[in-house]
Amino acid sequence: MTCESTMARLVADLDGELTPEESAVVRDHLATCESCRAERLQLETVVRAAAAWDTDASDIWPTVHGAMQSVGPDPVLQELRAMRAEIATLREEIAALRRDARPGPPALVAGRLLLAFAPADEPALTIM
Amino acid sequence: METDDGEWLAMAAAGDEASFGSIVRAHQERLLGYAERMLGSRDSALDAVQETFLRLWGARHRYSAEGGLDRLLLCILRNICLDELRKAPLRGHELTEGVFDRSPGPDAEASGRALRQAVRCAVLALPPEQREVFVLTQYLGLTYPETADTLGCPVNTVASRRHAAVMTLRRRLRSWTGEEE
Repeated sequence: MTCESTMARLVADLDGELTPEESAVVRDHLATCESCRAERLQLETVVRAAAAWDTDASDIWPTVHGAMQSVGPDPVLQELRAMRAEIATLREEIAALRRDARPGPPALVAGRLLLAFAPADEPALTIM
Repeated sequence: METDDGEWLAMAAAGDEASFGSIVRAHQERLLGYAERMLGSRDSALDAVQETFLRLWGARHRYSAEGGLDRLLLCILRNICLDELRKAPLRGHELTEGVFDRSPGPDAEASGRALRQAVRCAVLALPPEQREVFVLTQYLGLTYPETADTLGCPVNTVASRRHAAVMTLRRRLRSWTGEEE
């Protein structure tokens, strides 16, 4: 392994992100290369120094809790509920249309039957 | 943690505010750490994290903790931070050369504060895509695959950004790490 390819892997090696095989190759190179060892030490120092930026802890629950009271219902849920209501209405309309389209005993036939049994002296009925 | 998250979220979905409070208290520190280091301001970070929890509360019926509530919260917060940075990109941020110079402090505490400030400025000055990878790996302790999953990019991209970030910080923090110019 060359110095160049070793240096390209040093940060990942420090982070423990290399496979055991890759890490072993880097280790073998470091054992024989003083400049790469110095480079690794330098990067380790940088990474350790970066930990100096800590952040303060805060409890934001009281603020969040106060703000939660003004949060309305989930807009997606509201939309879902509206869609469900719309689907229910559409189902009713479709059911009504099916009822109307279903072939039942036609009024005309019933009318003719009535006519057939009507007395002869009664005025004729006009069936539309 | 994940078991607790699942139970807390289920109870919060049923309207239990105390359970939601447990979620907030369990995750707030980590989220604040991310937001402050991405936005460069404590106040902006507090606003962003509060907004994150309010979004979760508003949509608590739709979410489950199955994929990890910490990951979900981080995704929500990340979107909020990216929106914020689009509206107001970090500028300047006290990035004076003097900040990076090691000045002999009167005591170790002052020296520690100065180093903290130098690191803060150096990290905030990183290009946003390097800064995000650095923050996630360095301060949140995410592995490269976890970081790649969070950012939706290949692991190799995470590795190269992390490498570039460390190299940039090395240059900027030379006077602190004892490296010669």
